[in-house]
Amino acid sequence: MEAFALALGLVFNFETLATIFLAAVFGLFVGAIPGLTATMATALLVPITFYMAPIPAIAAIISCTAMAITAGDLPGTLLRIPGTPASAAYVEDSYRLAQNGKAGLAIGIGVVGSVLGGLFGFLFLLFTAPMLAKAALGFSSFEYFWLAVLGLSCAALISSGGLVKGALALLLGLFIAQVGMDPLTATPRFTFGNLELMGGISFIPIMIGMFAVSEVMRAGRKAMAEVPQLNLKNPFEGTMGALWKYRKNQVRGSVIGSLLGALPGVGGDLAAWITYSLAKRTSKEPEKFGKGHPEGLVEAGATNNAALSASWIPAMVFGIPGDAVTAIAVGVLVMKGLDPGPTLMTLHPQNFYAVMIVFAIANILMLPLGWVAAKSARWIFEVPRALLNAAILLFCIVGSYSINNSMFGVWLMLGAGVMAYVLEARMIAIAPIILGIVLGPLVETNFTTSMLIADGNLLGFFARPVAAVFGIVTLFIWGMAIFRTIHGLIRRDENPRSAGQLPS
Amino acid sequence: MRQSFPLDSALGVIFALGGTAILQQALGMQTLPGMNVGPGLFPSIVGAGMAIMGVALAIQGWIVRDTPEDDAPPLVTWFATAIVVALAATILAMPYLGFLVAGTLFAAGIVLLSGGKWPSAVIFSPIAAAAIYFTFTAAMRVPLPRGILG
Repeated sequence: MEAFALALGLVFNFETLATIFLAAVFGLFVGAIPGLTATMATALLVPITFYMAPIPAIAAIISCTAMAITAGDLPGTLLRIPGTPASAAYVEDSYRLAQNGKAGLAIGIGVVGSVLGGLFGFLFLLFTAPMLAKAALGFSSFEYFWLAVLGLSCAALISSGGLVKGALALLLGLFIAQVGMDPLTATPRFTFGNLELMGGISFIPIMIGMFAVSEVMRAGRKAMAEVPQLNLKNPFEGTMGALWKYRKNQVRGSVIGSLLGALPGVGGDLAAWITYSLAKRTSKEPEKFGKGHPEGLVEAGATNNAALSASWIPAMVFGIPGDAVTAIAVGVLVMKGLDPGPTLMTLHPQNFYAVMIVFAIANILMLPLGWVAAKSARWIFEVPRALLNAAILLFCIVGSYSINNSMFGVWLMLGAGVMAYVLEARMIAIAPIILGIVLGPLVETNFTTSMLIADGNLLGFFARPVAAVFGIVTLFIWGMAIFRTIHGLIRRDENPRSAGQLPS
Repeated sequence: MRQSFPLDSALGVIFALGGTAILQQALGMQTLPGMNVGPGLFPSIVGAGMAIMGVALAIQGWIVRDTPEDDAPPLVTWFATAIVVALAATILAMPYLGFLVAGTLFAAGIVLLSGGKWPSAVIFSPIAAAAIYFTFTAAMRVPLPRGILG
């Protein structure tokens, strides 16, 4: 209880509350703009969090992400341009609802359903995280090694380009993490005598380049909104009635979202697609799906935000993030000296509870801000792309410069931007690269420590029961993925389109 | 129309060569006396993995060719190239011109490149550069280069 009271003090002060509000407004603005993603919003925010106290810094990331993802429903509903891969699952229904004059209902379900799902995910996180943390206290380097590899493997294998491309992205991230001093002996690696590289490559300019610069390069001069827009008179109209009617979907979506979101690498994207198809299969009116029916919207919308909250479980409990956003957050936590992992909950429980309170506030704040965003959507969509591009790129330059106050960071950002632009054009996902960079030092340290303990015997990695389970699951997942890829290539002649690209 | 050399295969070859180079560098790192691990162990695993997966991508790209309807928009567009050139020029010029001048010129260039009109470029660019400059220098104490205005 004392820790909880301390946590309240950490959150309910002017700095933290103002940060939550401003970050939410920023996330809402970026998320509502078609083509700009929640990850980009978070990436642009990180350099600013550099100058904040730990709790406001992490609060900014949480509230910005939650708001940007929810605001991503606006261009989906009004313009049929989904803001996130998760909202693509139900964009057809929400757009059709809007076309039928029920834009308020579609947006209301998105926002209110997200708030309820997010709060459910928050409760799930609040109760499961301390229990998992207690178990994690008994983990040694073997368990941590396998757990990190498992998380990285899931992220790489689920990514859009399939096994080979996902693995290459991951290996690239792990390589970038190795540049600089070796953690064991402080031997310089891949530095080529460059003093700036001796300190390692910071993930911040890389992340800004990969998520922001490459996005500007890709989006180009495309106009913001080329489709006719609707005027929204009454956001949230009829929402509560629809949520009550489909309350079973709301609960089921929240539960499945929480469970799937907690798995590293899965996140809200896949979970929303799963529950949308589940809602369709179990519905009494499956023929209405995709034609402006609220049922799938309720379930997938709830799943989306429940998974978002639950995806923080592996990040907070084990320090092992499952997606790009939590990887950025873990990077910020480490930077701020709040090492995520079981000790965060045992040694500094007030910090853990403070993060939990921020979750609740960010979710509740979505209601008023979501309403305002829905009312001002037309105005947000009309911000000229040309001015946005210039402002984003200026911000990228300053953000990358400010990490070490040198132009080297800006060069890194440019290099990373060009690399991500080329890789994404060939369906090589960026998230595994960022996860590799953030988790690289943890994987390597635990690997070398385990090798020393096991005296170089690889069977030692399976000597402890929990480590053996994690290890076998990891090897099984890789085995299955390799088998399916080879099988797909062999069967390609029978069905040439099925094995071409392997989209998620 | 089939491409003579698939882009995925080209990318695979680049990854394979990169992985081999990492492996070669890593194998040259000294291990600690009397220990079975050293600074080169993990990089050599990553390098070997990258080389193998690079070869796999080259083969996969060769077998699974892009069909014409899968063709994405062209990779090298004049807009993307211009953004890279503008960023590189700004990075080189900023230590001499300072953030305010270089940032204003850069922002104006990006507005025009992105299809904006001259008046909006002239009005918006100095305001955006100045707002970002003063936010970062005054509120966050980032010593942005002052250049010719210093």
